[in-house]
Amino acid sequence: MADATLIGPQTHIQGAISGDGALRVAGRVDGEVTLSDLLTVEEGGVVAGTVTVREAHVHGRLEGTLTASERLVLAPTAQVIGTLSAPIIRMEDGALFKGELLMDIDGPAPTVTSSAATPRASSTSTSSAARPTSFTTPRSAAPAAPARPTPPASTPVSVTPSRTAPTSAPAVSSPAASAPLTTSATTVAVVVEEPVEEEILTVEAPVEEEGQIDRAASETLAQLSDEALAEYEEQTVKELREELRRRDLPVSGTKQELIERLVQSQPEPS
Amino acid sequence: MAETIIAQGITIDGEISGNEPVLIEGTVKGKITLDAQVTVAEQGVVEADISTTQVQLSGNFTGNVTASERVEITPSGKVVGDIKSPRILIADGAGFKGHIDMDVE
Repeated sequence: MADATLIGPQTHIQGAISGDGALRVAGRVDGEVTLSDLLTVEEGGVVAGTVTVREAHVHGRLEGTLTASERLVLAPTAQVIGTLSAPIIRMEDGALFKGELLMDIDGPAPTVTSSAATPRASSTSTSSAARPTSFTTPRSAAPAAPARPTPPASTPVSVTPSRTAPTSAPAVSSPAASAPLTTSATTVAVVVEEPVEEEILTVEAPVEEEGQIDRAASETLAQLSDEALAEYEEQTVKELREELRRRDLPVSGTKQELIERLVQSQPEPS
Repeated sequence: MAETIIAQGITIDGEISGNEPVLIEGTVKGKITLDAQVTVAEQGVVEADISTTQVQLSGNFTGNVTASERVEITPSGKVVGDIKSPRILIADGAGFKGHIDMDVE
């Protein structure tokens, strides 16, 4: 795969851009963008038109329709007007958005891959510090949105609304097309399709922050083999994830959840 | 050093305009109007009309070039089209088919 294509700040492209590589736009693109890779709209960059990509990180301005097949990230400097579709969305404090947000709310919960976890670990350490305003957890949204399926039983830890981000109250996006979000310059609350895993990824760096999770998790864990636990506790999160990957299990979650998942899949320590 | 770089796997179908240099390693079809150097790299494939100050063609180029300063076709360049520029350099080994007009006001 080629290096990223860069549209410089003084360059304007009108037409269609397509290809297999990554694209960074610091200038202006009017038209269509179709990539099988990552689109980055740099701060100061403008993309207007129809965008169909695998993944998009918006730090600048985007107008039109964006469909990301894997994930979409709106950075604090993002200004977006239009229709966004993605299975996983992260909107950071400061991002401006007006339009429609479409997520496959009735579909199966998307699996967050480990490759998605890695870049976020570095970028989320800042957002973790300002954590409370990232986005709403669906836990709090669940009562407010009756059409939403109850939190999937497959998540290893049954987390109660005690995890709710403090600013979640006002704006909850009800499913699909019917409720366009309008935001001011303050926080935007976005309902994220993949509830627990997404939330947890945000805080995977400072695991200690999640005292609430650990407490709930440890109750479940107490039922499991102490021996296996001790074995896993000694390993680092990285090693645990490698083990999970070897067994073809999802690698998201706090250390406790990873341990629990390993123990559940194979009680004896490996 | 080019500011805008169109990498190899990317195809642009439309118009490119701007004030900064553009390096094309991918495919461009349409029109390029700039105020700076346009470089078509060896892997680049361009079917477009170019209007700018300087052009360096090392790849496949089909179209007309109007350059207010100079045009250079390097040994790996293969050019079909008309060139209008006060200064033209065609290296040994380059391929060229078209008209040349060096009388640019």
